[in-house]
Amino acid sequence: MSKHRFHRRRFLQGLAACAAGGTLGLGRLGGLRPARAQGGDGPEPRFLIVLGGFGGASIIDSFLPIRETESAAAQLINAYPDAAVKDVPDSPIRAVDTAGSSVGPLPLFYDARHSEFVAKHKDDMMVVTQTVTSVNHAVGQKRAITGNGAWQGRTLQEAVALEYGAGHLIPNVNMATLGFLESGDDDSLPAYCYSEPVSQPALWPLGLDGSRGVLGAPRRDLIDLARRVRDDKLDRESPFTRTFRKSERLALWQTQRGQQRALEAQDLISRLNVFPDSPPNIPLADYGLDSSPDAERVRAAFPGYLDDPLESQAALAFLLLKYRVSVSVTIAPAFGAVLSQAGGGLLNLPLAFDYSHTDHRGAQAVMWQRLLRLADRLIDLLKDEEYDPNTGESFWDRSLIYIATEFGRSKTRPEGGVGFGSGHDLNNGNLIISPLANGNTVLGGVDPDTGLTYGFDPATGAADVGRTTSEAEVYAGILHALGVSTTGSGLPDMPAMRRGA
Amino acid sequence: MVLLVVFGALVVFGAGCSGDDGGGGGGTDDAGPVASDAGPIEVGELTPSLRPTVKFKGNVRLQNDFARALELDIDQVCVELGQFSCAELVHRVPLGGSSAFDLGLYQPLATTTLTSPIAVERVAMSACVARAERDFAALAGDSGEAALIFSGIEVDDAGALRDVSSAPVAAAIDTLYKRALQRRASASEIAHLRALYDDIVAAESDRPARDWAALSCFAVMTTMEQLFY
Repeated sequence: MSKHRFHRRRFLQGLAACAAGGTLGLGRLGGLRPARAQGGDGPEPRFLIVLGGFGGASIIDSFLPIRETESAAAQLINAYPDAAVKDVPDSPIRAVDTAGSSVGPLPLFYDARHSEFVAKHKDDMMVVTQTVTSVNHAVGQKRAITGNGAWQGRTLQEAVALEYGAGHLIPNVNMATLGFLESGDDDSLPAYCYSEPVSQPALWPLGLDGSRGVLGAPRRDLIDLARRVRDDKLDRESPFTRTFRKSERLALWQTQRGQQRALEAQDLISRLNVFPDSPPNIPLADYGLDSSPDAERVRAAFPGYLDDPLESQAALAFLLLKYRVSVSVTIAPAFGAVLSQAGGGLLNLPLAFDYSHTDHRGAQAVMWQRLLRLADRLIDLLKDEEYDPNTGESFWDRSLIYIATEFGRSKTRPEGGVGFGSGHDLNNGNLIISPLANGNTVLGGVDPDTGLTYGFDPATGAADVGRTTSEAEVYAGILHALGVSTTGSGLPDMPAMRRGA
Repeated sequence: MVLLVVFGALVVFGAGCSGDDGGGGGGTDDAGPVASDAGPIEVGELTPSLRPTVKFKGNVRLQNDFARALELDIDQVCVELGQFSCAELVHRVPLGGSSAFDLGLYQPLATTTLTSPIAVERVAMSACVARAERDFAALAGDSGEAALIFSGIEVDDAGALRDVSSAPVAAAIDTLYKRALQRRASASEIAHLRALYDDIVAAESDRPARDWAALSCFAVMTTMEQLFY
């Protein structure tokens, strides 16, 4: 459950940050573009995309699989037939390719070809082994984004927002659920670092303008007159406001209200709107609304945006980055089953990766394929989007996708079993995809006789069978790859996870 | 001199709160209940609460309050694109609602978010436009019903108020305050909203009376006094 608590210190620091910028409420949000682009001293942003492997995405069922012929206990651990484990030329990263017509009792055809993803993206792929500290879903998810409280409890997203988000309107947008949605435990950050939760990604842009799309609403300049009367006269003279004028919640409200015009000025209600004008279902024109200039190609990339919450999240995530509204976006499938309204069958397994309790291999294949297909399209969009015309850099050149997951799955199976269920296991690994990471690399390895992963030397990246990788190390490695300054944090240095380090 | 003329109204307004809002005292020092018809009230210095713990109303209470104050059905308050409920779906979380199924958010957020004020304004604007349209239809004799808030005001053929300083205009503002905030408008508040009309005219609205009605409602319905308790 997300906490999003109210803290005096957090609030005061947010206010201080705003006040330092000049006008109350607009100091941190003075414009859409990053501070550097506005001539400020802020660092050029890098972008974090957290893609939640909700339910337990197992690394030995994706990019660190074991062949049966490699294991002394092949029939007792989760080793795959040799033919299913693919090597990709010029890469140490393996992949599992499997197909089937059902997952447990659910009729569902799938043809999961993870090797195609590796072949295309291997240079940006970094497989990192990890051993976590909880097999509870919500707890494990939160630890996956805080490194188990590695840096005073702040999440990766909050750390990135702190480093790069000051010049962005909504630096940290979170569309995930449960533990992946939680705020961190560090209350010392400026208010803009904490996430804006989004439950309806396709419709959410409607909430970025106070009146557009409201039929019969007066002109904007007239509305501004009413706002001024309210803010400068009615609220100030209200006996309620005067009585409770020391309320932190009222002060926060005024700060947030002060940021509204900056949001509206950027026309985000249009720019982030994926919908086409399609009366009678979505009659945009009738309400004076427009689609995003990018809507058509985003819909082409994520045609399931109407049916599939994950595609809808991805579409919004791309637009938030492209329009430099955010520096961190978090998306994830959830526990709920998703059925295609267009007759496309089951889009999301019930319990997502956790359907592995019923059919481990089928669930892992389907859910990994779901995440990888989504990541592939998101990467393609970001690659096509120029970040800096002077350098030719794309948005992807400055982005990192972290496929976060709460834990791994148990490594054993009934002797020779194929359709078996699995439990939760602390031992696992993660996939990170980024031009900023040490790509085409497997950091650590897997014991073919136990299915347990082992760690690596944080400096050299050399596999170390006597070591496991902690949550804090993965957390630190991600931040370092993103160029986030962690001075004074006490985090370990993880050069093995950085490109060129 | 400290006058706590309206504190009783605050208590009425705050009915349903948990009692931890604190307060600087209670009762009035003179004329009794603020909802009397004795005329607009004036408020002097107020002692700030020593325990200024207020709460955001949240999506359901806000929607209900808007509907009640403006005498609208729930589905007339705010529906995005004519089909998606503002308070219960589209803006549910920023308006302070939980989202168990979509986000695994089993409790509302403890604080308002960056987009909360915008969501509030959309709901208020939608509801106030609906009320203004109905009242102006009533004033024109088109609807067969009486105007709820803006009754008695005179509008000319150009859509302008005949006299913004007239008593019916003050009465409309007072009615708005009583319906929205459970108290009477002060003379100063009436003056501010009359001045808003002058500003709207100066900005060359092509339907100044109707825009003023909608925007007066909007301004009052989005005051912090309306949104928190």
